[in-house]
Amino acid sequence: MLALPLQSDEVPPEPRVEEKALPLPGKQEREIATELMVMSLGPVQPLTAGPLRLLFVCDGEQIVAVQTEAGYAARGVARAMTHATWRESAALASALDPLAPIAGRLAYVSALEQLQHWDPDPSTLHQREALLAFERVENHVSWLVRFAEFLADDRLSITARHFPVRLAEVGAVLWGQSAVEWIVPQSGVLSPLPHTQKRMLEHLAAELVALRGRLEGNRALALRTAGIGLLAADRLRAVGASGPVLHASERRQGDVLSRLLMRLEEAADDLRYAARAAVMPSVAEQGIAPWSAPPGETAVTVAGPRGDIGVSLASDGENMCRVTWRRPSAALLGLIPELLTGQKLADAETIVASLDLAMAEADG
Amino acid sequence: MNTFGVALLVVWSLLICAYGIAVLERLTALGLRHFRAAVLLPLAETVALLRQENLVPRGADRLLFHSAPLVALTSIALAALVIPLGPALRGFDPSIGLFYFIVVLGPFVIAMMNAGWSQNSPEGLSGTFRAAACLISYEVPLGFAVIGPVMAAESLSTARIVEAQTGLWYVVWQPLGFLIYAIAALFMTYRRPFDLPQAGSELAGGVLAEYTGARLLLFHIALNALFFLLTAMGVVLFFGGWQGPGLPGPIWFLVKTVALATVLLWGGRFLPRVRHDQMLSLAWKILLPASLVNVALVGILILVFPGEKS
Repeated sequence: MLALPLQSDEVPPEPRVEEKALPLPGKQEREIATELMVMSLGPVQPLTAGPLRLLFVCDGEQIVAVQTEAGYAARGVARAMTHATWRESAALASALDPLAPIAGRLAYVSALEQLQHWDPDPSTLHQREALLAFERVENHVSWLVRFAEFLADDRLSITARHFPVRLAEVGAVLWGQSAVEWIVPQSGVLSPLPHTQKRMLEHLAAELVALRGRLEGNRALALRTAGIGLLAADRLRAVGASGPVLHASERRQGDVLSRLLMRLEEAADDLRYAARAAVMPSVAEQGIAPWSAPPGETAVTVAGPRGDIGVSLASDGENMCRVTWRRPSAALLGLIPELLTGQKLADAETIVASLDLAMAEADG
Repeated sequence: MNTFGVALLVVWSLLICAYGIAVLERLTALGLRHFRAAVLLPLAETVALLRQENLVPRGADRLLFHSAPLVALTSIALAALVIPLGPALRGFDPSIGLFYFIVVLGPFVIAMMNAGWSQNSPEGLSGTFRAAACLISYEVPLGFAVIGPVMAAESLSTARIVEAQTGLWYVVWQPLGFLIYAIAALFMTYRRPFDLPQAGSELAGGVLAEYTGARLLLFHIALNALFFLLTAMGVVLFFGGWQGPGLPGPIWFLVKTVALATVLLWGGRFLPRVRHDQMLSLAWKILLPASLVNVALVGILILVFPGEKS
């Protein structure tokens, strides 16, 4: 029988900011000496994939300081991998970022192959890159749907919604239910992708390019996204950020609109690549003998949807004695306080959403 | 009909109108394919809200918190009395009907701000500030926008304004005034893209953040009924009210109101949510000058073509 908690008059603890740790401005520094207000958002909120608590210290509508509380999704993936077999570790690597299982698994599998000094043949590499590109596109378009919801822009939302559906159709033809299962060490047997699917991918790429063109000239969208959440490329490189957020700062202005357009641009490029390179895996994993990782150290990085996912392995010949992950969302997480300070409260959610943080991956 | 009968009729009409707007809102979002869901969802939400516990936050100003939804509904019910559904179908027809309509809707905004203020929560307080920003954004342009029809009809009586449009609807030669009125109506009812006072994850409901159960339901009813009233008044001011060929007056009035509400709800969804400072800029830098231009244009047209505009 389910035991219900007893009702209590106990007041739940109020969200508290650590005032000593936050650089709060004094009354004389503010234009109007109003009382500061603390707004709590999360831990469960729609801005990030996974839980993150944000405490905004606001002077009216202006954010003067931000405190982030992460770690709600921590599972100790790296630590668990040191006690697991390679098969179990591959599953754990897939779960590092549940939204990008291919990237995590591919990084781990490639690192294992490096330890074994096994070089995949070019066709296998192409297949893996195509899988990875496809996963990036899936993530970008899913993010676009969520982002359109934040902006409450139905026109964008309606346009964006059909991309994940059509990608899922292609994905189902390409590799059935789970593409992740195809990525195993020293494996990769291929057959060509049907022309219908290739044409569909190329068509989707053209639609993404057209959408980007329309959004670039959309003044109403620019009003809510241009010039806010600016990130300098140098600052991003300094914290180890990568992926579309860094590219948006390198090639464009680095604001929310740039990140949106950059994701669309990269998604179109990835789709074109996938259409050229994708081939269907035709043979399931087989003939992989159980083995122990040879002693040694290696590190591999792959381009995930949110940036470079890297893994560093150290093996003692029996087990992995050290596993370290490079997590792109973790790098961006630390930038949130400086990114939001000075911004308007109404822009906070758009800015945080534009980073596309995956908290499971950030917390590890 | 005695006063009690009229009051009962107005309340029932408002409930039906609020339900109609809720259905319309879902239809514009989901599409006609989901007609059944659009019809049933508001009913399901009503039942869910009625089953919810009525919570009062700690430290809340109980008087304001409890009274806010009632004040909101009362002001809307009073405003509904001057909407002429037909030549002889209205609560009453004072000579200052339009002025009365705008004045009695004032407490509605005060009720929304009271609701936010009384909750003793930062979300509610921020929502109140945004509601206040919204109020000072739409009030002046709205006032100027409705002056156009008043100048043309030379009356503040809503029935007289409708009768003055027998030959030509005012929307034909006052499109700017209508546009300003429509935008102000979206502002006033917190409809997209001006729904910032109660939207956005950071405010978790804004002015209504701490309301639950029946009180929240009352606010939803009030907001939907207000949207219906403002659209109905738009029909009175710019689309000839109950006038039309063939069908009875009230049917024409309802058809026009529903059509206008659909256009407004549908159009608002295709713009990103506007920030409060952008809302203020829009109101003071664009809508206000435009409404003054509209008044001047209407004045010139009345002088140049006297007696030709009705």
